[in-house]
Amino acid sequence: MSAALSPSLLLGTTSAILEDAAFFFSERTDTPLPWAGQLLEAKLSFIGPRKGTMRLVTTTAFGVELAANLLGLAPSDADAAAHARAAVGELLNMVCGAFVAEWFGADQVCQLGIPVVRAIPHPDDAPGDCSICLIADERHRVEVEIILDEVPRP
Amino acid sequence: MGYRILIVDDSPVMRRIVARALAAGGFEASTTHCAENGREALAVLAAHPIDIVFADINMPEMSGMEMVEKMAADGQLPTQPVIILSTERNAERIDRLRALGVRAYLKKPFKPEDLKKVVSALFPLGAP
Repeated sequence: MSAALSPSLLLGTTSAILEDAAFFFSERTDTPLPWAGQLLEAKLSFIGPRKGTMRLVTTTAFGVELAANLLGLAPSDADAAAHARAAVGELLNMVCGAFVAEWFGADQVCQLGIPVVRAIPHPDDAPGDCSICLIADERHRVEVEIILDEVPRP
Repeated sequence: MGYRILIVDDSPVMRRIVARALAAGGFEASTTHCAENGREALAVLAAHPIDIVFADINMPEMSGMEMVEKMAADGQLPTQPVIILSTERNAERIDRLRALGVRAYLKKPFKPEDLKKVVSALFPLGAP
C-alpha cells in the first residue's frame, strides 16, 4: 500500500525515527531557528517507483548529541564528536528506509544508496519537491527534503 | 566463555549500537569482529570461528544480500547463524533472505530487547 508524497508523511517518519532511535522529541515549525555553527548535510539516493534523493541538513551540535544518544555517551565525550557525521548518516538511512516503505508501500522494491555526509558553510536554499523543518528537543534545527530526479508526467 | 560475534555494517555508529545492545542484553562477547561490507565479512568468516553474524543489507562493495547468497551457495548458512539488521522493508526481499537461511530479520531502528529475544531464541542454552 502506498501513500502520496507529502510533508506530513515526511514529518511522521522523521519524528518517529528521531524518537525511537535517538530519544529526540521533535515538532514541525514554520519559524525555524536560525542556523548556528557548522552544519552537516547528509544525502541518500533511492531508486524505486520514483527516483531521487533524501537530504537532511542540521547542525554539527545536533550531530554530536545524536551520536551521544545513539551510543549512550555524554555529549561532552570526545567519542560523540568523533561520531557526529556517522550518526547523521545513520539517522538519514533509517529515516529514508522507513519513509520509502510508507511512500511506495512495502510490496515495492526500493534500493537505497549509501549516505554521504559533509560539512557545509550554509545550506542550499533551492527547495526540494517536499520538505519539512523540525525542531528537535526545542533546540536543534533539522531540515529534511525529498528531491526527485524526474518530473512526473501529466 | 562468551559469544564470538561478527558485526557487518558500513556505519561505525551502527556497529557500536549493535555491540552495545548485545551487552545490554547480557550477551557477553568473547570476541567481536567488525566488517564494513559483505566481502570483508566473508574474509573474517574464513579466518575465524564465529557464533553469530549481525549484518546490514545496504553496504558498499558487497551488500548483505550478496553476502548471504554467497554463504548459501557455499552451504554455510545451515550452521552459521546470520541475523539481518536493516532499513529494508520490502517483504519479498525479506522473504528471500529467510528462504536462503537467514535466521532472523530486525528493522532499524530496533530495540535492544528485540535483539535479545532473537539471540536468546537462537541460543536458548547460552553461548555455544
